[in-house]
Amino acid sequence: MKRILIGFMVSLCLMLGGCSWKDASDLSAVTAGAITRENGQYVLTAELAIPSADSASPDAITVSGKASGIPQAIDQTGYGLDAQLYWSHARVLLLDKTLLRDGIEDCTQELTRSSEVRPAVRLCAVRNTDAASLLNCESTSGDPAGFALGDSISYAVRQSQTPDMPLYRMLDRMETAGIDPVLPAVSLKGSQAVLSGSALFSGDTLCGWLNEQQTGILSILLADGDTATIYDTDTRYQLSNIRTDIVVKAGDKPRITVSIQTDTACETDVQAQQAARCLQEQSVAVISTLQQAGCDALGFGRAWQREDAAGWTQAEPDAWQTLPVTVHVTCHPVQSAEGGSR
Amino acid sequence: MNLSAFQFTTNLDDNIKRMKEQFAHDNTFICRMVQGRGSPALRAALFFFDGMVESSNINESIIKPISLWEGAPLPMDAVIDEVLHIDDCPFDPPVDKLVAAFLYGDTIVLVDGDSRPAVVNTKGFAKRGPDEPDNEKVLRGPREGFTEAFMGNLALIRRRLRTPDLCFEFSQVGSVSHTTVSVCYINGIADQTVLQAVKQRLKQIELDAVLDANYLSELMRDDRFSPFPTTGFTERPDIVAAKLLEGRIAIVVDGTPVVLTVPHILQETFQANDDYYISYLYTNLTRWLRVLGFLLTITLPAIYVALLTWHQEMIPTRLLFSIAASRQGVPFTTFTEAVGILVIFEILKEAGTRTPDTIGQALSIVGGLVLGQAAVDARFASAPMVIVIAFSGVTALIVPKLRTATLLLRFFLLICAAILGLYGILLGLALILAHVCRLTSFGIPYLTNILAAEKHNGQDVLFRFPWFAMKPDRRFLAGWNGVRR
Repeated sequence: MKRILIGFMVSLCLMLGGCSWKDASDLSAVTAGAITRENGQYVLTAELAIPSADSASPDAITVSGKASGIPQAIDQTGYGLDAQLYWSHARVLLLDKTLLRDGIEDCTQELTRSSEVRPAVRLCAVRNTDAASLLNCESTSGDPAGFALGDSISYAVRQSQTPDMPLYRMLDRMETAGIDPVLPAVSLKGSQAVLSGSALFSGDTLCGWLNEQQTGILSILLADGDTATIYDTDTRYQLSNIRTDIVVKAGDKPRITVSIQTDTACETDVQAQQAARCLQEQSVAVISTLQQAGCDALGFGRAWQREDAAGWTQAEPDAWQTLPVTVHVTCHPVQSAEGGSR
Repeated sequence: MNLSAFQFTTNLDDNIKRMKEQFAHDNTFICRMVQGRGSPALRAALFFFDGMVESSNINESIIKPISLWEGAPLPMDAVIDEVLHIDDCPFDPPVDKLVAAFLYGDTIVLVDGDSRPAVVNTKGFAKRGPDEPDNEKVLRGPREGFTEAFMGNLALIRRRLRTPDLCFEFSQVGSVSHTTVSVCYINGIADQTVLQAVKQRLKQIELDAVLDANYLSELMRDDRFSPFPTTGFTERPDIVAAKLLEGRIAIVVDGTPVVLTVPHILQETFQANDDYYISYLYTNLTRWLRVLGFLLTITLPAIYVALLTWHQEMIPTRLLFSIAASRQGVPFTTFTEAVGILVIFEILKEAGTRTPDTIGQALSIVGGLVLGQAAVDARFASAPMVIVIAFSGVTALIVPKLRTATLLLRFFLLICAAILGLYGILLGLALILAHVCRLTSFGIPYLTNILAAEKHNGQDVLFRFPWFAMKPDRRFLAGWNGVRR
């Protein structure tokens, strides 16, 4: 009996082990991808890092695959290569304008279902150029362009310069009523890929763009980053510890109140009040732009539904666009060696 | 051995003849005739082994008094009383004790006309001084170490524990070697059940010879196949004294500087010799480093293999690139590479251990630096793997008492990692923990004080309390009343 048990356990271990053992040298790490829609098919371009023993930064090549579905396109991309494509290290997926135009829900769902791509991969909308070409441009660090872009986005998210929109969050926003997705936008500047604002969506369809400054304010409203910087003509304010709260006051005439609390590196209360006024004005402007574009990136609809489900159900789907919005900003002055008013 | 030669008669010449015949092929056997000045003269014969005796002792205590004796011949008992200048002299002992003492450096004295021998204590073989043991060096503290001299070793222990409760019980093991073994303990502190178990197991030993303490260890252990040591070894008398005070039992074996201490539980493997001679703050820090070192040394190669073959997504991207770059051109899989380098590392370590110190150091440098670098340059191995194995090897050195366990568990977990990745490592660690949980040392659970430190004696387990906070009567077994016998 003991021998049978040991034999069973050994065979169980071997079966659990299966044949999926992959040595690191048998894999080719994908650092970024670009998805384009072409004649009803997905064209997937992958940026592969080719590590070099002679250089600190890996070299890169791009390979493409075309298929009607994302999983098939992933398989096609790796077809014929001497190493298996490994998507778990992909930092960013660039969505081409051809895809944004037709709606991104199908693509996002297929990406989520794929076991190859991690849900934490960040999505970006490509502006003014085609997505695949961004993977072939240069980066200042010498790293592959897509890989370097991943670093740029991470830094920008921490600095509240762009919204943090990984795949899982994007899908969540598309599948949840009362909130719309928003994506960081990337464009070609010279020979480099740079962040250039953000793409606004109504449902899964592109409905507008924000510039860099507006995107920064949107990121503060989303409270994604650790710190933020706002500018008031010639004055610069460094914000930290940002907390945002959205409350919908239900009733015959619902009102939306956005409260922002933040620490501001400054020396006097007067400077803190100036920073609050500046942030309040810019926030109102950005919210107004969002309402006009029809992108509920801040989740006003969801807040309304939470507060007054019956009223929200009875209202028109785009009723949130006409609700009056009040923005309250409180800036607490803190002494800091970083930033501060000059 | 034919003991008929030791059945002496009253005829001295006949006795001499038979003894010479018995040891005809042993050139170290010496028969010395001595005659007194009287008339008729006292005639005596001395039998001893060259190199085993103290010559000056024989000359002064036996030969000189007999040769100067001017009286008539005397029987043996009278010779002992009136002629010889000796302190320890068993008269007419049983043949087996006579032979054992004779073979161990005592001198047999026979006189003409008396068949009863006297055995004079003349032991005096070469022995080294109680130098500090090479493999148990301390930063601060006593520097004495045991030697191969049995009685000298016992004296080193007694010198540290001047109490009438200190007991040394002798017995002999080995049907040919007749090795003397002493069971040492402090009466009133040592656990009686453990003591009886030690004596019982010593009695059951059936070997032709016991040349070292490890012979006994392997025969007396509770679990003979476990890689974890359940008997302690030390060459330091201060350590033995400390263990005896904690209620343990020491087994001193003649002819070896290594002393066994039992029971031996897991907490002892992480205690260093000088833990008690230096600041408790430093001791506590290094004790935790030893625990960490042990965990790292057995798991590090396995974790590296698991990450590289199963869980590449857990490796930071830049590190993955760096590893992938260094693995370019290496023809082996990560697992094969790890096993290969581990084997080479162990070969180098073994070679370094077996060679003289000066060459050993050179060998370590050549092996560790030159060979490692050459292997990386020649693409036999990748640099990260060499780093991981080298680090694993270095961390193993801080827990020398678990050397065997370290070596075997490292390979075991490596195989687990190759089969099932991190899940395999966890499974392997669970199996190891289960094994350790069921281990006992002379009936005492191996994890005593670790799993229930607060209940029994937590003052010297995870932390070594300062001496002013440590109560002697609460250490280890002194206050333990376990149930798993």
